[in-house]
Amino acid sequence: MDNRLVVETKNLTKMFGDFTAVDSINLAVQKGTIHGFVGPNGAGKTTTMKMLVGAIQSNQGEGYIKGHKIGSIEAKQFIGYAPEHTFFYNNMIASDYLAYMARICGVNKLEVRKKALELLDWLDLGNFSENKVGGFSAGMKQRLSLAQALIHEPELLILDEPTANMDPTGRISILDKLSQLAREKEVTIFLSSHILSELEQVVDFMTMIDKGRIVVEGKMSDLRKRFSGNHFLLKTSCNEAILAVIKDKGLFSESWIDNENFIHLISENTPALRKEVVSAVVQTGAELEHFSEEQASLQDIYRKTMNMEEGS
Amino acid sequence: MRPTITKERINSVMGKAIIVMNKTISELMSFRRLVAGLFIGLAPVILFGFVWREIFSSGTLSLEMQIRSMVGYFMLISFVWTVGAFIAYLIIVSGTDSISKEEESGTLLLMVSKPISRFQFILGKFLGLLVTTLLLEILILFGSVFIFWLTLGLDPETVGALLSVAFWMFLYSIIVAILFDALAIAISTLLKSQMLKITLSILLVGFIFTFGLIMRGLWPSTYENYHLGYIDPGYHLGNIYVSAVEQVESGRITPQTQAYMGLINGTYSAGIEEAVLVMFIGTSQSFDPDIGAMPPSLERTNYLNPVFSALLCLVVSAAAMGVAKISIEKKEVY
Repeated sequence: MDNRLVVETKNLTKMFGDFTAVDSINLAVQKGTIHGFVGPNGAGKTTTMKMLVGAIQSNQGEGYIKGHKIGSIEAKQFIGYAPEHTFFYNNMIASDYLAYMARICGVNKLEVRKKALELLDWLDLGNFSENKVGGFSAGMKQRLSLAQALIHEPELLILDEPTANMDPTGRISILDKLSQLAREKEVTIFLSSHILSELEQVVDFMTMIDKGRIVVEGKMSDLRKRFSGNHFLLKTSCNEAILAVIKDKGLFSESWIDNENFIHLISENTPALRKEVVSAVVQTGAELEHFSEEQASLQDIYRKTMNMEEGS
Repeated sequence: MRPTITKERINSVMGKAIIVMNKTISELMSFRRLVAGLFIGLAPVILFGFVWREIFSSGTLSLEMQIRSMVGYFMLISFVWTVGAFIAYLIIVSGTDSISKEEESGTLLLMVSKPISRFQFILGKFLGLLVTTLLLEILILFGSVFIFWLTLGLDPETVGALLSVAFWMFLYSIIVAILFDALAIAISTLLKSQMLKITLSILLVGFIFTFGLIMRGLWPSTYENYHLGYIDPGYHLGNIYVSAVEQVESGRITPQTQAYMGLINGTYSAGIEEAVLVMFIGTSQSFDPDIGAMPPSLERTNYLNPVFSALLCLVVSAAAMGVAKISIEKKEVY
């Protein structure tokens, strides 16, 4: 058992009759990281998360939270979970609801009220602490759902679409707070989201799942490189001349000039290409405006992994 | 090595169950529910209070007969309604929804992700429902005596007798509440469909209170010969009830009440004939010992020791909670 791993699963499988919702997945979530978990609808994300929190049982395989078997009380002590859809006792006021959840999690009776109010303040719900939860907007409920997950200061947050139903301001605010938790309190966060452009701003690691199987996983920086496909962007004052010089050397497999006058080069021989670009610029006397290695975005990685065509 | 049952272990199990219990109590003790419960629970008492007012206003009963007949009426109405059908349905209505409602609303998903065992959760629900039901029962039982006192203008001694009987009825209601509470929680963990839950609940309560009544009415010899009393839940409840109430001097009931009790729950050797007979000869005059028209006391059937009946009810309750525990622990919460 690796002590740096907060979540570890081995061949975790969940079947519903003949349908395999989660197929032998091996997860490894490292301490203090934000680990994204993405995939299309029905890929098995929510099912996996529900197995991790002990709501449903696996058919095969095993999983551990900080070395404790998933579903055990010991494992649950480390987890704060916010499901995709928010569920509350609508007749309770927000602070009472959080106090109840805190007591269930074993927080000292004398501290619960203070903790609840602090957390509501932190999540910009301080003015609504005495309001009934039933009257909250969807975005407020989403924040309250995060609050109940955080009330016992868990080491691991499992968040299923934590920014769903929120406006852009709310989404950015929540993602900032999650980054803050990971950075300042070393909370490990395992979260799913369909908003890839936002998710990639915060995640350190990524696991992509499709049809119950992991299709891609790894450190975000490694994935960006891996999926960039040795793609370079070049812009000079004399693109055609530069392209002609480099072409003669046979250093790229593909090239094109886009509408914004950027030369795109796909090359397997990166060091040689870099050298050749510099020498071509010198040789032609052109002015170098831009030269960079293109980094794949999460959306690019997702598109390639799921075999989706551009624009589809 | 067998885990030892220490005080800390009990505290840790009960601690979180008590948190759930407190929340359940606060949910169930709403003002509206309390008023509705009191109204429904006391309705027959109010109704009969006004009917009996006519009998008592005739003024022909001696004090002893007033006490004995009043206790008899109180026993009958309480067994059938206050600590019978009313308490059963009160618990069934709230209890069968307790887990399934959390499942439907999604709150169970959050609860099972928290560091509380699923059994602690249902135990908390069980205790919350038990406490609120018993609080309501106290109000209704002692409220019944108050209503009788108000409507019938009873003698203080009669009121005292009714109060002491009410105390034993309350003790009996604890066993009934535990039994129906456990059954309701088990149904709630097993079934989701509202229609199925209602149907099963009606059948279950009906079976418990009418199985023996029907069997003794239609096939009295079969009931006797095959010792159906052993498996007749109505008999066991009646056996506990009559024995509890007879603990007080004023709980020694009249032969008329004995006949009704025999008919309803089989605790006295009385069939329909005896009940009809005492109904017709049981006028106010016939009960006056000075006239000497009191029908003879009926014999207790004593199929089983009442302590055994009480233990059996508790064992059935424990078994129902066991089923609920297995069911909730196996439940997949989506």
